[in-house]
Amino acid sequence: MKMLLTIAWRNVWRNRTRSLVVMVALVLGLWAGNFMMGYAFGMYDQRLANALEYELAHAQIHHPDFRVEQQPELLIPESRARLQALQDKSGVRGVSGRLVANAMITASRGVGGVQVMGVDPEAEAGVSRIPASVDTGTFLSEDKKHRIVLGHALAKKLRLNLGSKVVLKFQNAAGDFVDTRFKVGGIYRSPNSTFDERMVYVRQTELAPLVLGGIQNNAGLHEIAVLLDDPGEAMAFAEGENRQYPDSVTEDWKTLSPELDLMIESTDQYFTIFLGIIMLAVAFGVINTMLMAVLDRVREIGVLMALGMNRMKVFVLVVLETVFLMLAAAPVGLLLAWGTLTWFGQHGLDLGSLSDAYAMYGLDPVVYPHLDGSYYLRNLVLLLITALVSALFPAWTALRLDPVEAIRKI
Amino acid sequence: MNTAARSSAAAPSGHTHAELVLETVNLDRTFQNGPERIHAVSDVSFRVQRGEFTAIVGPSGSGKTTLLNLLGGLDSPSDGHVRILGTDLSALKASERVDFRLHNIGFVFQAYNLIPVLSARENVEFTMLLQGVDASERHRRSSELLEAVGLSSEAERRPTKLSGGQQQRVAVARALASKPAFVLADEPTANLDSTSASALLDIMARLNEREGTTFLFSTHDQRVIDRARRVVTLVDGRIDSDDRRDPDTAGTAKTNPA
Ligand SMILES: Nc1ncnc2c1ncn2[C@@H]1O[C@H](COP(=O)(O)OP(=O)(O)O)[C@@H](O)[C@H]1O
Ligand SMILES: [Mg+2]
Repeated sequence: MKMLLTIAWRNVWRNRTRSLVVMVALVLGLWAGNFMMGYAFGMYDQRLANALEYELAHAQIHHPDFRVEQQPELLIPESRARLQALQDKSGVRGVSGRLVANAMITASRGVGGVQVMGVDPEAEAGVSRIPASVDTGTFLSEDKKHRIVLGHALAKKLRLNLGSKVVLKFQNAAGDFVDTRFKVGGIYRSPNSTFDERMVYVRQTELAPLVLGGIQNNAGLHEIAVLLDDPGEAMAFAEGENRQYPDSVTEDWKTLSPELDLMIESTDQYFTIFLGIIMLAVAFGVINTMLMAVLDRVREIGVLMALGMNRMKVFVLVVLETVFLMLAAAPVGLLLAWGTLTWFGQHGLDLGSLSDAYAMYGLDPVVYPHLDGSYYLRNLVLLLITALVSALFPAWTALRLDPVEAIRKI
Repeated sequence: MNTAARSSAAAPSGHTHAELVLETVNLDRTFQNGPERIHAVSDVSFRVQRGEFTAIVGPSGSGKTTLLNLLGGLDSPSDGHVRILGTDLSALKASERVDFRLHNIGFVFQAYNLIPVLSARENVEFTMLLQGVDASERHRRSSELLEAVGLSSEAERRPTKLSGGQQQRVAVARALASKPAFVLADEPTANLDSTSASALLDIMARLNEREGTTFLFSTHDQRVIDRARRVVTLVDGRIDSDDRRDPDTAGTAKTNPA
């Protein structure tokens, strides 16, 4: 065995250029595999953070049927008392009561469907970053009446500017359609352009008479968004609320947005496919190089066999050469991956040209990749297996050589 | 069957009691080359006793290489048998034949064919390693053999740093390292200049004389043929003549320091 190791090791250094090519392939494979994963994880985290900070908060409370039926009369029982109780609850950082209504928005340049959020501006700023993301105008200042705040995506679509007039058309609780004029008082930009195109904000006190018209409870709420001190407590918080208030439903962010999980899952699949492609490239590199190494040494392998080296050992010899190549490449690849991930993890990686596509999925163009140690190990093992499996064919080719033919070869 | 049969290469010269190491019976090897059937070796029957120093001669294409491949168990006959120390090679499975080669047959090739990544000493030790000989014995024997071929000072060099003649001497040492029943050498001097060729022959003859090593080598070089004690001539794959000579008339004595 020691002799096989010696020969294999020296063979690795015989054709330096060729060995270097395989090693570079292995290094790049390892680096790319790890970096892609780190990038994906950076993206997940950011998507999650964005979704929680801009869209979902940590938990939401609704009437049990509201999320399905979206009818204006489906209010949270004892809305105001509930809001008050939540504000006083420990572990709760922010609470915002909302009215939620679907509406048609009509501008001079177009029409669209939107979701209107009737909010208390200050409370909303305590659970969501939307109020702080208004970069044109203000988020529903006290002194101006009938203002609407919408996203840049919608403003662009309907060609709206600050001060533009729009009409919102709702169906109120009594089933009547009501039209109301609003003036664009602010335009926000969230990381998610889909969200920006759909969510508009108005003052709750102005929305209430419009959507709750025809029912008694003018102070009712459709939704209470809750921001906790610890997002990890969201599920426990929801369970506790549900036990205490069986007439309403409290859902944590995971339950609220199964599509978030789905997106993360599909991204996971996407990157798994990507990893597969990288491994395939590594496999072709190894197969190609080791096959050349074998074919270059046909006569030599024939001699080894003639002298009495059995086929198993010839096979092992070729596999060992691949293993040595990997052992030389693996530390370099891992170090490179760790280095770049650490650097970009701190400084961020800006794929500016992709920012439009990213915004559709609620992603910032700058991603901060990061990767757990266990994934480095996993990718290393994956690469080692790929390289080993790829070595099998060249090794098998070597093992099949006929010594008589091989030695005859000039 | 004893696939690991070893011979003692230490039989002193002059005591060559007739021990049969190699026997072929009606050996045939045909190749199908398209529509053409080539009889590379036809009906070859002969025996080799321990300690013989035999040249297989014949023009190019007469079947020397094919015959040696058959004798070495690298190739299988179309018909007939090869028996080495009583073992019929065709009765062995492929893997057993590899093992049998390792323990009983030494090879020297025309193109030397040393393992380029191993030093001269490592090349000599190679078959011993395959045989599982322990390190100290390997070292002892490789030193002894390198000394015998006059390359003690080149032991740690790689083949590329050696001349053709030196490489072939390492190859002879390697062939002997496994203590084979006999050594097969296919045109061992064909790539060498006459001085190197003569030096190689001296070494082979001396090993034959002193240690009783059995050599079978093919050649079509008349100077090499002159050194043989037995000359088997092939013509078109058949034995045309088989001449034994008096050892005393063979030209080895003059280079033998003993
Ligand atoms: N593998 C093969 N396939 C076809 N013909 C072969 C093969 N090996 C040898 N021969 C033929 O057999 C004959 C003997 O060849 P060889 O044993 O190489 O002769 P020598 O070594 O005496 O020059 C030649 O005609 C050669 O062309
Ligand atoms: Mg030949």
